[in-house]
Amino acid sequence: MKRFSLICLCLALVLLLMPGCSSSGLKRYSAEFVELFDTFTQIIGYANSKAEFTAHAEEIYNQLKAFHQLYDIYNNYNDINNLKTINDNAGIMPVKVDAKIIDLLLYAKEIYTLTNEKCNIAMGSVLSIWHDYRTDGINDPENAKLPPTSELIDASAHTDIDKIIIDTENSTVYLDDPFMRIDVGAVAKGYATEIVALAMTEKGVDHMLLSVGGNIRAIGGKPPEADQDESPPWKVGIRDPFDDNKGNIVSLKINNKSVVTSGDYERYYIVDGEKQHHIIDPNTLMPAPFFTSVTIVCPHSGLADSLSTAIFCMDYEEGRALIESLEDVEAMWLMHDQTMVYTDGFEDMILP
Amino acid sequence: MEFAKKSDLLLIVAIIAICLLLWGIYATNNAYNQDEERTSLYAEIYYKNELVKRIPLKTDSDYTFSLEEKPNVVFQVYSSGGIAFIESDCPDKVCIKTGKLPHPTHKEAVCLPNSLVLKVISEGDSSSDDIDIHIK
Repeated sequence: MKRFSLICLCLALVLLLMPGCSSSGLKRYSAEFVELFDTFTQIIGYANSKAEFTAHAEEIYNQLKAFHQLYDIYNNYNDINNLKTINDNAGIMPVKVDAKIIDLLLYAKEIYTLTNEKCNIAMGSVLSIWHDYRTDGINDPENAKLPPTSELIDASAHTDIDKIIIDTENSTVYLDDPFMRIDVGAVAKGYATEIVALAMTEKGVDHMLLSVGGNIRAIGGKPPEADQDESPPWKVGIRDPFDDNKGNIVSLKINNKSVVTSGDYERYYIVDGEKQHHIIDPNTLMPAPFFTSVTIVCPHSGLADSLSTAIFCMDYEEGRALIESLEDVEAMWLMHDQTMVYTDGFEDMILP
Repeated sequence: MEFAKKSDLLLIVAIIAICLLLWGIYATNNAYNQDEERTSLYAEIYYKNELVKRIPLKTDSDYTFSLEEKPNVVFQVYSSGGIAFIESDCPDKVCIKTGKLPHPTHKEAVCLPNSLVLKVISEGDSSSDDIDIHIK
């Protein structure tokens, strides 16, 4: 009898020790989505099982989809008032909207001041002209044209952000100019990504990387290796726009931060052999000519998104001064001659 | 009174030895399987976020195919390994310009106008030296 219990004890010990022998349970998964914010969304994460990862990915998708519908300026959805509803009622009446819209618009007004008025969500009237000419130019490259200057100047008379009247108490928004249109293209994706990342963090989700159309937000780092406490950083590669076959122009170590790049090569059309990209300088009403791209790294994805656009529309000196004035914001400017200029903190993140 | 007899000790040693042996076999086997999976690539095609096709990227001769959902988009599988969009009715042709997968900097090719994602996957773990994600 004693022998039997001894054997049992021995087996129990072996069983107890077994899980410790197997390698760490977290596996890497990825999920891709189209249609959200009219772009490509990718989620990379580590989880114990595919089911666990899929549940998180679906949750993120559903949350982003709600933001996408609310922030859409091109389409209506059943039973919801979105930014298009607000635009359609410009100069007519206030529209009752979800708090997610109020929060975004309030945030965008802050950003307008912070970015020396370079990131202006009230520029929709101007941006829609460029949007139409670009779409036509892509569909029919032979007849691609620049928008007439007079048309742009007329539209720019209706871009006063103070005429977006936000009533937080009644949760309504009114555009006090019938020709004004909201366009949140420079901030909405990043802002929504940030809110969703925070919500997932609150639920205890860790070790995830979200990319909403290149708007990157890391939730934590990668899972620590066995016997280590520290989360290794994600490795984020920024593609070389000058040579697609060369791979990355630079790769960064990123932990719990956001990375956003704005470049003249992302979305454009060609008029008389010249590239006309989609980032429009609010002062000249033309595509901003200063850089090939600007990359921003900072904790808040909404800030990274809007700053990348704003810095892209400033000359280097003004942009550098703005970045230096902000806490925990790093930047890289990729010049047309292929040189890279970056802040000290940015340099520290570059992988060898 | 003795805690354990000599024969008991022998038995314990024997049990532990057998356990270690079994574990060793399991671990080697596992590593071998992972190696196998790592070298075998699959392509997955998603239409409107739903997986509609999954094919192994192993073929003796090149072939092309289209999906029922999108007959105007043509994919090619290469005998040298890899898959690519080769024809599409979209205006920007970003999907075709992305080139053959797997590519040094990306594992996906996307056709947004057609709501298609082409993704190359290997079941094994990716190396920690790989870049996790790429920004255009």
